[in-house]
Amino acid sequence: MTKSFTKFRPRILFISSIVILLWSGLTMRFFYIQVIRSADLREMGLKQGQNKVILPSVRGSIKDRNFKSFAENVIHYSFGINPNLVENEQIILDAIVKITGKSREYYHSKFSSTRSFEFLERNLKNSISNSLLAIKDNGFVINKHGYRIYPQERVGSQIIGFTDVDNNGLSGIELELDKHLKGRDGWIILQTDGRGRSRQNSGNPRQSPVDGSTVILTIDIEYQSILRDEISNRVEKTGAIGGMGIIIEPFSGKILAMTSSPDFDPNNRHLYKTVAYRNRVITDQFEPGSTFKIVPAVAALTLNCVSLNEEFNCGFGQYNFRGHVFNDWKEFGLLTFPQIIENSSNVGIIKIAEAVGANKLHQFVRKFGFGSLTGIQISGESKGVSKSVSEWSAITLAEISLGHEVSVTTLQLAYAYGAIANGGFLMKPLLVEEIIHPSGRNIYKCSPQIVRQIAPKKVMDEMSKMLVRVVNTGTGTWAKIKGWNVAGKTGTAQKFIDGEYSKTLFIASFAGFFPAHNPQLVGVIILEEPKIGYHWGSIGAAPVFKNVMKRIIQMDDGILVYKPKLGKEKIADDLHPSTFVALNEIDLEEKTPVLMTSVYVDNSISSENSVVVPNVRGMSMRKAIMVIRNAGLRPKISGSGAVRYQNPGPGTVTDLYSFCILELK
Amino acid sequence: MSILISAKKYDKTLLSIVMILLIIGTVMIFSSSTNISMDKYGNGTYYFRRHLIRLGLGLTGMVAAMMIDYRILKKIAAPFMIVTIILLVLTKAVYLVEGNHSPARWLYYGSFALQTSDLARFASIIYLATYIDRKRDRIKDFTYGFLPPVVITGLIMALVVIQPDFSTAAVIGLITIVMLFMGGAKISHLIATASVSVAVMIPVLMAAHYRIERIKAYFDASSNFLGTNYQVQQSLVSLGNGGVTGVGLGESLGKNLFLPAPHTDFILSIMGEEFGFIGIFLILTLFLAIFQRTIKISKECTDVFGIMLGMALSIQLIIYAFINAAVVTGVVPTTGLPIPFISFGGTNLMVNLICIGIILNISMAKRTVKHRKGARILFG
Repeated sequence: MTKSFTKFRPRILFISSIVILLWSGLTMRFFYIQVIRSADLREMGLKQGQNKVILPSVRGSIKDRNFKSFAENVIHYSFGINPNLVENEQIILDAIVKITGKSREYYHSKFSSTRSFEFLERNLKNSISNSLLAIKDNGFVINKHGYRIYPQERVGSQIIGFTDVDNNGLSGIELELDKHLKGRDGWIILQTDGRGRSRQNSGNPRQSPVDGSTVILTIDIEYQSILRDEISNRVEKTGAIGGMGIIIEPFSGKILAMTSSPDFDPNNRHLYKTVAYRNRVITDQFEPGSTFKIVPAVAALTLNCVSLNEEFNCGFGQYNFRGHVFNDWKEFGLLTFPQIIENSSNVGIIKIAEAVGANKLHQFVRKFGFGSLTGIQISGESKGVSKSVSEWSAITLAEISLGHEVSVTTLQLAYAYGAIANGGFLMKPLLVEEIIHPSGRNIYKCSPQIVRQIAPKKVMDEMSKMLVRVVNTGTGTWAKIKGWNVAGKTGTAQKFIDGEYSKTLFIASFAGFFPAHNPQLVGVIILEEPKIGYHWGSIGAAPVFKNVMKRIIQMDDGILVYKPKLGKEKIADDLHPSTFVALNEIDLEEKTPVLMTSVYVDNSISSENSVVVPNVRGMSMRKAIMVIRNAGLRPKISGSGAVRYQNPGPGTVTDLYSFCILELK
Repeated sequence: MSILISAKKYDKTLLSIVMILLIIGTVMIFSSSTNISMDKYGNGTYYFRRHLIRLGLGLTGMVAAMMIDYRILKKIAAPFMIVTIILLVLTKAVYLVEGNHSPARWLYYGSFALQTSDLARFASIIYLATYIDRKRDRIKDFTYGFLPPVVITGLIMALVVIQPDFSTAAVIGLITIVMLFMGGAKISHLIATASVSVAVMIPVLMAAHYRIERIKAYFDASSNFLGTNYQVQQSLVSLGNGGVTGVGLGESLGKNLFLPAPHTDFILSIMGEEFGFIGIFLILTLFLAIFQRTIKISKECTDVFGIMLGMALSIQLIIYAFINAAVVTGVVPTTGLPIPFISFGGTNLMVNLICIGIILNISMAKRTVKHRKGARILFG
């Protein structure tokens, strides 16, 4: 002990004893409450719980990205009083009698109640409650609550989901964001003392309800209605048992529309089968077929194992791969890589997949996000099937390159094409734009999230060019939209039923995006089991894509900004149908063997407005047209057979999009 | 290196006690604030995250206070007091100009909010400790020894009362009386001052509606064990529900539904419900232990300023803790005073941790009294 301290010691000791005294006192007080009176208090607490009147909160609404309503509430009011606190009984009586027409005595008895809370009337409609809502009185309790309605009916129903009668979310966004939408119920405690009488109370034991937050989705109601409309029309027309469709923004990963048919009206959901509740775009997996060919193609481009000009012998439509014969839909001869994609040649893509190799191919399947969850904000998602290489059979490599022996969801397919559109990035699907608390604060705001880069931009640009050809001159011409560059790929997959591929049941699909040079929208359309004739991805599914996108262009002026500013191309487009028809007719009529000569076409020579005319002499008509088109020229054809004469001649420098006359014999 | 060497000389027991309290507090804030945070912000961890930030700042402040020689405070006592008075006036002035409706307890600078009354109690303690150190022989003299500090702290109290923050003003008054008592002031002077203060405070107390309500509610309790104050009722029900061993972490019913402010003034009720009497006993004992450690530190302190400062800082922590415990058990009317280290509250936590830092610095000073080598390496 120091000298300084000694001087203060007596008084500090005095203070210490007071502190110890207080400490003992408090400890005893806690002991009294927590140990001796514990049982009483616990009982009081339970009683209090039973005397609680719940004041329900109003569930938050769900809106689309333009704040149009998907889910709303019809507001009803309940009115109650705390008889002890009512200041002006007459005003309240007058108002409520006028509204309900019940006798004054009926309500008067409630005002003389001994309880601290009495309901006067429950569930009055919003429209007739105005005069009561205007009353300001300390003892007058107004409580708002809502019944859920879905003004858009079938549109977006599978995304939004529905609630049960107690306003608990049961499916879709209603379930997923239930905790935000729900808000928190308030309560009033009915207080009585030991003798059962209500007590005059200064602090009114009451907690106001907190309303639910508003959820803004990335969905656009207009897009959603168009997509739903077109898909259900198409399902009807093609006799398909179901259809699915999705539209996303490739750069942000936002989902703009997502629907599957059949669907349901959440306002009367008991009238529909539960299958219709399912958001099949995310829950159902299927074998995609040719739309999956982008995977071996991107793999080959990235790994640089195939050159763009290299020609593959497509064996006239047959290829024996490790003892199993794979067929093409047409007898192709020599095709370059872009032509393989353009014509969706099975043999060609198998050969490309062979060059990529099993391990690398599997790696790219996974890189594209197949076989894993996309992480979309609603549950029930399937991850699809992507077998690891060790589980592969001898021909799995070929099957996978054709989009068989893998299962994908429509959602995964859309984001895979989104990655081609945005220059290589697999995005995380976004469905919820923001969540706004009733206080106006933003609880959540979405931001684009990149899952991974699949391939460099250069590769994806090359891939998009091929996909543009698919739509311009290949299998996807049904998806062509006048004045726009559309990129896309068709798919026609045989359904895998009971261990074998069905010959009659198909899944027709189309996946694409536009405008190709600066993609704004990616769309995937799937038709399940359309009638034969419509079972092709090209004839069945591609027109849906075209119709949907056309209607969106007409509806949404915002898209026009991205229209390619190529005045000349418009003329070219006018010409396309005729050449295409000619091409088709010829292809159907004659099975001219493709000559084993090839011409090196260097697109890079073409400067902005001039191109070098390639040599197409001796080529088949089909091949010549492709080469001429690739060079940026428009073929003008006469005769049939192989090219005998061309004007302007090979090596001539001429204007972009000018004609090249081809005479065939 | 030098920091590590000198760290060994701090009172590790005191440091450990505070750390235990901080851990308990952090766990309890997480447990008690999830529901209310979900309600208000739609995010269960809003308060918890803010608490962690403040805890970080507070611990930084504590370490800084541990490293800076507390004797420096003696030199800055007067300017610090002046700055505090200016800030107090500014708080009220900003409030009057901007015309907010909430109490003028905070001074905002950007997103940083400073509760100036917390600063005021801290400044008062330093000032009084300096004053007693300088005038220790004349403290018995009424006019020249006793009156000046009473006038100055009276002014501070007045500025805090008008915010209005009656409770903090009362705590400052109480600390002033206790410090002057320790410093050797005459008992008759103290009793006279205390009487006058109470006489002045009663009308002030009655001036605000809510205070009358609280007091009425308190005295209304005579007929019924639970009383009529809703918060206290709920607090007692929660505590009772906890029993001896408690209902377990996160299981409190009170925080879910009934108890307003479960993470601030009434966090002890939730604590009592979840950990029972055993938990409460631990908390109260830890606060007593802080006081006991400070006496031990003071015993070996050669410096009057150090003794006064250390004692006063720990006494004010005890006052806060005990008043809060008294409120949640319904012994005294509701005050709005938090429990140190456990309640959610920014400035309060930071000031309290700085106080502990200073006490720890005093504990180091007595151990290096022969040659303050450690300090010289640090600041030399």
